[in-house]
Amino acid sequence: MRNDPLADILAEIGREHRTTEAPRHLAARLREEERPSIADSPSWRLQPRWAWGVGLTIVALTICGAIAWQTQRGHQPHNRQNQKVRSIPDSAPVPAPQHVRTAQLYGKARTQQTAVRDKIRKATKKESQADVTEETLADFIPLPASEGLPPVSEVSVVRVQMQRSDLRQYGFEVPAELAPMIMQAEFVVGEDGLPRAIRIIR
Amino acid sequence: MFDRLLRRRNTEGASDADLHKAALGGNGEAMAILYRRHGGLVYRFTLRMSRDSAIAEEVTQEVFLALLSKLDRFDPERGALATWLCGIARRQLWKHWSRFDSRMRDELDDSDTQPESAEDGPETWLVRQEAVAAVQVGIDELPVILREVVVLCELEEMSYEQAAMALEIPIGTVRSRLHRAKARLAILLRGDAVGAARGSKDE
Repeated sequence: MRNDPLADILAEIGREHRTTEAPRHLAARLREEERPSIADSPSWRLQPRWAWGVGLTIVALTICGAIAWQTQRGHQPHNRQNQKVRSIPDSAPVPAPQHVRTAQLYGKARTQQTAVRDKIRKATKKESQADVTEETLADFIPLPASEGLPPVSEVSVVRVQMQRSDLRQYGFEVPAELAPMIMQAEFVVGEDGLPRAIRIIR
Repeated sequence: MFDRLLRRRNTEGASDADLHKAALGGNGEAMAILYRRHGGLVYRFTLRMSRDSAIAEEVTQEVFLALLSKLDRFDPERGALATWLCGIARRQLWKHWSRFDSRMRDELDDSDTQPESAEDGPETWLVRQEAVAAVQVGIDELPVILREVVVLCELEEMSYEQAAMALEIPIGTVRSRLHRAKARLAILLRGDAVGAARGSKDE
């Protein structure tokens, strides 16, 4: 028995208080509700590893596929627009233009063709002659207007759509009946931005 | 059979931290033991604080479910499970009360309703049970912040440190609140004694 009556009374109340037990039915309810949630279960913790593995495999396959596709695409000859013409073999034969008719229409094309080709050869001679690409300038007709232009070390091929009458500004003669016709052509453009040769596509 | 008995005995003797780990892994028996160990404390505390057995049950259940939750992760290095559970119970009670703002304001208001001081008079004998009943009522009528300290420190016999941890207040605050609460109860007790003495005189 303590001297402080309040402390005594509080102790007695405390003893009585501590006899109160938690309801038993709550234990059963907790057992039902405590089933580990999906987020807490160990199996779920493993799932991110699976997900990571699958994800990485998919990414790797995608990258490999993309590389293979790009490689294959790069070898296809249709993608010529704006491709760099790296070199022209000296021994490359010069076949006759496909558009013989066009070439004939424009007169002295044959003789000028050889001259421009020589210029282009000179320009690209610095590069390895062994490095032969599928590209050749065999089908191109030298532009009369490009006579006297300085040699270039690197050329590009640019595809354009134009009227035949536009050929006159490059030094070709165009018959009046053909002048309004639209055609597709490829220009060999030097590093100075000036065209050197042309090829009629259609 | 023997194995199960042995395992059960081992589980009963396991620490709270181990049981908590097992419960997190889905061990129902571990959870049941934790409830047997600490369910009473949590239920009594919430019952005293809420004075409503339905609320006490609900809060007790929420507290033990919180053991499995990731949000309020119990860290055995930071304190005992009992104090952690009381802290969660207290938070749950406050959440419950916040739904009833007016009641909460009344309960939290510690400034008014000071019990009238009993006038100095001759000390009379009082039936002990009447005094106990008066203090019981006095505890129930204390503001929440004083009552929770009395329940934990006096009725549950927690140390000041444990109570401070459970209530998330400094130890000094626990001491001062307990002092204030006891002062009120003492006044109440004296008043009751005076009233009892007056009653006996009237007879």
